Amino acid sequence: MLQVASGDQAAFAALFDRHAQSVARFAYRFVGDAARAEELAQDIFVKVYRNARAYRPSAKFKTFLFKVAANHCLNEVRRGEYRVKHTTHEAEAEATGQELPEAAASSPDEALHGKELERAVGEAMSQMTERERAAFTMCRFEGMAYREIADALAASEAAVKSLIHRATLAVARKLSSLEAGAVPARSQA
Amino acid sequence: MSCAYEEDLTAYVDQELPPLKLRQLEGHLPSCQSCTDTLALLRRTVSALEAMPAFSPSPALRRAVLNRISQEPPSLLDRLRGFLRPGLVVPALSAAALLAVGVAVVQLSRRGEGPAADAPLMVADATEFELVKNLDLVEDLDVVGLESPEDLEVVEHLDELEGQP
Repeated sequence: MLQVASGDQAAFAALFDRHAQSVARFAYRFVGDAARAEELAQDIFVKVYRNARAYRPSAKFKTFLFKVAANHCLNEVRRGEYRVKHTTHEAEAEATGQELPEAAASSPDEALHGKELERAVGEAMSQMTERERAAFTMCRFEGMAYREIADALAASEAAVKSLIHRATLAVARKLSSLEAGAVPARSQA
Repeated sequence: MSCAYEEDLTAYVDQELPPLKLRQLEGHLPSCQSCTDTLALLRRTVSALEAMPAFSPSPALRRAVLNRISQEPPSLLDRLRGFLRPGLVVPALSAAALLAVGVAVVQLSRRGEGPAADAPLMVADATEFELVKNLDLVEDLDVVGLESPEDLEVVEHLDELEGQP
């Protein structure tokens, strides 16, 4: 990162290769749209490059990166630049011709369950507040610790604990109602 | 109404509870069916989320980002550094030093034509000189605003006036 701060573009490329997937995944889960997630990821990396001097080696780089990522995504959504969409990314992949990794499911039934799961999670996430969604995404999809999420969101650990609990419980209830057949998943947009 | 311990359940699943709260919750769970059910639901949910396929960005993202970075203008600091490189700084400092010496020489030569710094103070007229001489008296009498010739005469003959009954 210190090399990036001195304008070393090769060092920046290495940094990008190490973290691009993580940032794009965060942006995708945040806005629920693959094309927009890539636009956001581009902006986030350009911001990281421009603000490389602000990075202090005492802080974990991933925390710094997600601070920039969370701020950018929150600001863009608040400015109305992006509406949170949340469709399944199988549908996104079909539309964009992108290849997706195989889901953990092996039988067709389980694969169908995977799509329903994706849809239900997307719906539950679209109903979260922006900070809940950011904290939930960092915790569930990036495996970040509460302390790191608190640093990235400039919040207390107690606040993050509460955000993650509310968000996880909302998804859990959505999945529970899906399992119970209370919400016909196919009828959801 | 949900249990007061419910807030701690997700942190418990994520192994983020501090030791004291962890002990309290583990002591509470066997006696609370609501928390036990919610905990099971949360565990199933977290496992399901972990199994979801990850989103992968397209290869175009790398090209787009590196292209944008290569077009970034240098920062102000980099521009300053470029400006301050020795090839430019040494001649610029030499020119500035020469200019400063020139200005100093001109100032000194001009000062030589004017009055000397230790020349005696010139007093415009005798009245002012008198006033300066008796300034302590004027201040004692609290007549700093004294201006008319009559008043000045009173001050001048103060000794005589004081001698009168």
